[in-house]
Amino acid sequence: MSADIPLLSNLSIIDNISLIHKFHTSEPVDFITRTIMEQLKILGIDSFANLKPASVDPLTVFKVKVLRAVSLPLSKFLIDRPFTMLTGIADIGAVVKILDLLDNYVEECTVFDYTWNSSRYDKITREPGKEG
Amino acid sequence: MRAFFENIGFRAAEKLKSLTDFFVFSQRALFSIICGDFLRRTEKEILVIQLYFTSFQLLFSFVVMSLLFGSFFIALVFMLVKNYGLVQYLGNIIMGVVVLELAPLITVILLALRSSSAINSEIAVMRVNREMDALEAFHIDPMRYLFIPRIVCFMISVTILSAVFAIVVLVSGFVICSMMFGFSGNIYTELLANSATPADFAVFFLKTALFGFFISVIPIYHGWKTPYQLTAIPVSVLRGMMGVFVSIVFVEVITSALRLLLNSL
Repeated sequence: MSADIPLLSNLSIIDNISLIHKFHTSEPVDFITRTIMEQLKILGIDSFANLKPASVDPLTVFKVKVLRAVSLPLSKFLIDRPFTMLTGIADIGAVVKILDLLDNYVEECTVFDYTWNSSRYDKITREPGKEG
Repeated sequence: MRAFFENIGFRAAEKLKSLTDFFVFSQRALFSIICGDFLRRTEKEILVIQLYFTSFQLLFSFVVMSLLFGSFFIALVFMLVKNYGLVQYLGNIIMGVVVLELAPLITVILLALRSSSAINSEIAVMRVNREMDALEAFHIDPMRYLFIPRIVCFMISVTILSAVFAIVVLVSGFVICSMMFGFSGNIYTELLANSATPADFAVFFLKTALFGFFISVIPIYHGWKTPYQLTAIPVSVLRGMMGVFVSIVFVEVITSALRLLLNSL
């Protein structure tokens, strides 16, 4: 996921995620909606489900982008320069928190970023058992 | 001098390339429609939403407009018919002028003004915001998901709204006709039925479908070809709307020629 792949502005939050399921699978719409609502609830943004991306804050947009990305059968989950999408945050902590909440859906995550942002990743590299 | 001719050649080559691109795009769209791509789950959903915005939302004001404009127009036609003693051609005039020419033309102009410009800017904005790239990134073909439902919606909308316009005008025509000429319902219906041929209806459906196809595929194409700059959006809409105008004239000429040909056989 990257800043270059935005959410679709004319679709609601839930439709942005469900579109991929509806387009690529033959799963019933009710099942797709239920699954996505559960995921939105995990991230605490289920109340924004029917809002358009322009009506929510950048962190919520980021969370929706993560959910959209993990809804695909991924070979690798890659976040491209997260601070270009989340300009208001000081370090990677907020992203790690989101990924921790989605532990059942994200097996492995790689983050690409500029070297001058390395200090913003100190928090996770210091924690034992986790790689930056 | 050489630079001048080179410039002309360069511009001609550019135009030819853009025209070829448009024909390839239209051909792809047409093939996708014939294959019934718009009947799949996500596309059908978009088609229904588009039909609501393009036809249903417009229906009430369209009927009122048809009633006002159509009644005055048909009253004027009847007055001329009466003054010039052409009552025996009344049915042909109503069918030929009102149903086959006026109804599709008024409908297509209204839809082009209201919805073609909207569709052009919508696609252009999506392009500039890189939303098309997002669709492609998730392996969703914009042609199938975005364009085809809109094109099919326009083809259906122009046909339905033209028919609504024709029906409203024919009904108001009956009221005016019975007041001016004292025609009963039976005579009026018989007059219209005797004036219409199956070929006329075939041309009507062909014309409305072609109108719908061109007034949607041209703005979509121009929106899709918009460069990644916000300032390119108005230019794209301008080009799209010019294309729509040219296509309306083109379809009108082609179908009128076809009607003349069919009637002369």
